[in-house]
Amino acid sequence: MGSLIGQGIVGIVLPALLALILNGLVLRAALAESRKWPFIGLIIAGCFAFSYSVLLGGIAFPPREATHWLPFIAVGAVFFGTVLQFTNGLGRSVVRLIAALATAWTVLQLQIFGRWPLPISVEWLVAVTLILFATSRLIERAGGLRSTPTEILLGMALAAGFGGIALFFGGSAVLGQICNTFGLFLAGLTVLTFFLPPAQLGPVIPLIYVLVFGSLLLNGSLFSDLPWATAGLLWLAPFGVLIGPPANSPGGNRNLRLLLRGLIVLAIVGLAFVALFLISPPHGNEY
Amino acid sequence: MQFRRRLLLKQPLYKIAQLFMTVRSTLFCALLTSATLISAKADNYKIDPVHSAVLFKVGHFGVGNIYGRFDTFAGDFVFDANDPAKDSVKLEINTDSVDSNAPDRDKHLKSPDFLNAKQFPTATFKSTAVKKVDDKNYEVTGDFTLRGITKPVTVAVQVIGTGPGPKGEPRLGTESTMTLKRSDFDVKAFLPAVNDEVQLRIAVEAIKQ
Repeated sequence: MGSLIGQGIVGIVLPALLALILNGLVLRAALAESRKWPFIGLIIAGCFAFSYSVLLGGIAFPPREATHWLPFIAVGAVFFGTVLQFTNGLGRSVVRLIAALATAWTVLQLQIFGRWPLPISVEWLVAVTLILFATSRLIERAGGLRSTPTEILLGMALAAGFGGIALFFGGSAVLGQICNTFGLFLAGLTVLTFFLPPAQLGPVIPLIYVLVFGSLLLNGSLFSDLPWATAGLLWLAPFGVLIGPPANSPGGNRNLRLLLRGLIVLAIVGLAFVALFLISPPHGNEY
Repeated sequence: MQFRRRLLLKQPLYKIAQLFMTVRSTLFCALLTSATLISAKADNYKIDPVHSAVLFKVGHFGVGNIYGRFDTFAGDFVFDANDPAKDSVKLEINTDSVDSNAPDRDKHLKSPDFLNAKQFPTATFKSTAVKKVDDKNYEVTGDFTLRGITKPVTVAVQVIGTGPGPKGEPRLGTESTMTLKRSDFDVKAFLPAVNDEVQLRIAVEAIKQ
């Protein structure tokens, strides 16, 4: 048991604390907003890769399983997110589409191509690519208009944290741990932005979130026994922060709005858990 | 005088008997030779899953051992008692059929944390060389593939016995053990609380084809 606790301290607590401290330093640094977020993205992706490496006993190279791609997807998302930060218009959409296609391909090619009929495999690839593309765009654009960075990060942290619990119940304790670690990084960042509010959230974090969390859910749904309804609802949950009055509307209590939006996200997460318990009764890991 | 006459009378019978004995011994020799020739040819065997088992044992928290089995597997082998160079073994285990007598644990064992049964539905063993230790024991080296990773392993095989089965079909029984390091196959979840070394015991009854 001692070794499991040790693994949890080194693989979860330590990278979460490191991410918190480093992100705090970046947010306090005298840098332009647009330049802060690539650094924050790099910190999150780096800590995620470290955490993954500890929890899974190393990073497999070359990747053989869909799960093995997670740290590479995180680092790739920082690269694409940074490019997005400094591009506009059509170029930005093309970059986002390439990132979504690359992620969908890495996760799906190992499990459906060659096993399922080609037209169905292609349909899946197209559908997942479009979902990843649309999700990252929605979180960034609509989120930027309607919610503060703190609210967006809170929604993502709640979805990732509870997503980890769902994955744990869905059959993979390790996927659950990885997802919870990701949720912890986002929760730390949420707290930081609450006290050190930035003017706007760059595209790096939503892109990392969408690609890594999406990959975790895809892994959970296809390899473990997480029902698709649960995965879909968890994916939708962060959009709960878009409901309600716009962030820039005058008046209103900031804390109360944050609480309400958090509750909306939790309500969607609750539906995801209802689906989990109804469709595929989960098991405990007490055996 | 009477004795002599009787001996003469019996002489043809004696010769017939002598001739019969010669034929019989020739036939016996021929049969013996053919039997030797037959046994010199390697025999093909197919595993009878009803009378076979693939079991595993793994240490748990340094306290005890957890036992489990794989319910679905198939395989065949070529066996020549006189020439191990002709011997070969193939075994395919369905990873989704893992049964550790705890349904929740089985679900977890099938997940990406351990066997990743959805992406890797089979584990296989293919022999590369067979060495005869003595009349009953063999050392089989081969490639074991789990989760898409292939590693060389050595299996200690003991021949339990041979003989006819319920329908008179020739059968051969063996019991084999091998020890794997699960981390070699990227199965690293809960190390070292759940031991790295996993012992496989494969008890097989095979039917001659």
